[in-house]
Amino acid sequence: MMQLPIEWLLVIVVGLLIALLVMTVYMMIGRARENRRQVVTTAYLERNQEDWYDYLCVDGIPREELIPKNTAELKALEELFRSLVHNIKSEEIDKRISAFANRCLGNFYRDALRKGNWGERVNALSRIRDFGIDSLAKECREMLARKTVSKEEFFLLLLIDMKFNPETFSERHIGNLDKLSSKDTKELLFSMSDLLFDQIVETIDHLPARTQYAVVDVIGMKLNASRSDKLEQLFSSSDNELRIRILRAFNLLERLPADEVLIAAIESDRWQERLQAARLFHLLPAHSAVEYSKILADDEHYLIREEIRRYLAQPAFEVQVDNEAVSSLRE
Amino acid sequence: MVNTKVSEVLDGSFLTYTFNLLRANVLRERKTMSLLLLQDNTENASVIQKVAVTLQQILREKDVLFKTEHTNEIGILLPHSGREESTGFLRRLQDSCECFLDPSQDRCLLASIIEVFHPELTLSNALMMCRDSLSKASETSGIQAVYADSGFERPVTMVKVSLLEADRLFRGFLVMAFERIHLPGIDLQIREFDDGLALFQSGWVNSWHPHLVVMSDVLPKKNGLDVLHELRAMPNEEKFTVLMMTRRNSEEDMIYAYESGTDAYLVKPFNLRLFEAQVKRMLAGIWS
Repeated sequence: MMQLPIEWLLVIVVGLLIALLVMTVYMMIGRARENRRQVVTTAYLERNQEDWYDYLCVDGIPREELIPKNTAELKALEELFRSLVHNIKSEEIDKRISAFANRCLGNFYRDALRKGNWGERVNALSRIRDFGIDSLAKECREMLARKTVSKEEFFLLLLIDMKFNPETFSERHIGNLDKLSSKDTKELLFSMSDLLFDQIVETIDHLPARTQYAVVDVIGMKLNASRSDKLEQLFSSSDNELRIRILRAFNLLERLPADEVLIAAIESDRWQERLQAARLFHLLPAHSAVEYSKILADDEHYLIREEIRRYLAQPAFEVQVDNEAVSSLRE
Repeated sequence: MVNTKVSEVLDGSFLTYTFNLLRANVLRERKTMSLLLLQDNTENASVIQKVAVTLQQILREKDVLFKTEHTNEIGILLPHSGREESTGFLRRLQDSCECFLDPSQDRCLLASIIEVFHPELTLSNALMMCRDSLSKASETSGIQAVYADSGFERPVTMVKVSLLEADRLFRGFLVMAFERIHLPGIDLQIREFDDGLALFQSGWVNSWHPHLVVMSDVLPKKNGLDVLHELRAMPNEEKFTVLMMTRRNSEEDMIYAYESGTDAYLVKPFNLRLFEAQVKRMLAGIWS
């Protein structure tokens, strides 16, 4: 059994007690600081609430009292702007927030971008985008050119560049979109203006496969059938994943592709393509649907047979077509 | 003598009682009533007799036909009808009454319309004001309508407003937007809550006043849809007008909200002016 002198134990206990005391004092000071900051923040917001309303919603004249004088007030302002941009949609209010943020928050976020703390940098980038602080567009572009930015920062920097420089976004970043995750690429494409998205769609043949998938998915999600011609052109691709996504987009759009696309999908050796094609049958005239159903009624894949069976079981379908043909297929 | 069944034409003290009863309902339901006085200035009051017969055929069950001390007059009380509805009613009357169908006969009837919405407007005063306006009217072919003004403003209605939003800063902005809405005859009493439970615990919902509830669907403790269900389950639920604010913009969510009893639906982020316009529209419907 190990023997420990009692003096050593006492020293360890006293040392731990001192450490505990220091930690407690540190936390109490931190708490007091946070409380004080909260008091200043609340006082600033309560004192200026009416003036903020007047500036943002009425006259657009910024009173001198609104300019934050310390970090706590800056945080209060950040909290107010964040709340408003997420709840209120108005070009006028956005312009006023942007003007004030450029004037009073620009330097604050410029410093935050230079900090080593990743969280502070990401927070600053989010706010630059939300509040439209275009005076920091140059810093953001420089940051984008660096190779050391994290994925999250890269995504936010692309969103910022898209917001402040939409006219050059496509040519500058089109080849970089595959560095984003699939979810981020879709979010970026979804938040694009229609004009910019159309530019991306036009160049889809030259995009990396992952970006192509995201573009096709977003065409379907946007429920805008005006790009269905492009989808039909893309269907000639040898990439099965792309072809499946194109058919899924047609399903989302509730629109029939050209006959040759549909037939190619029905005759595809990939069951996912045949399944997506079967899901389009409800858009066909009843007699054509029966003809196509004959091809897939005995498909090797259970899901496709089930899809056809479910489709033929619709009561509305019965009255439109020759019962004999349908009955034989149902059997 | 007017050619109508006596039991269907009121007069005397029972008429005054009926008028006072309907006027009390006007104030409670905030739905304007109109009094129409028809006057026939032809020699033997032949037109009014024919009109009275037609009136019996076209009047709704809740309308009241009455006679005054003058044989050339007949009056109608039209509950839930303002000036426009009463004018439309006179137009229908003219189209239905055979005495106006032949233009060569040049039949003429004067009609005065007065809106009843104030507790101090008595039947005798209303009739006096109608007669006064009729004395200035010119007689032309058909039913000639003139409008009498009682001189009263609409009684001020207190409307409770409850703002339920978890984000205190946004809530503060909505309160300020409400404070700047000024509508004649409406006194807004605004209270804000950060969740649904606080609203019910406050007892603020327990009164007969019209109550506009503006709430977010996502709230701590008791969310917006729970609040909506509870409000609609209350015995006097029709006093509540509910405006739901939400981030969900799918058709299914909207259908569910409307089926649950919301009156209007705003998807966040929304334009504050659109919000104000919706609120004003809802408040304008307080008096009809």
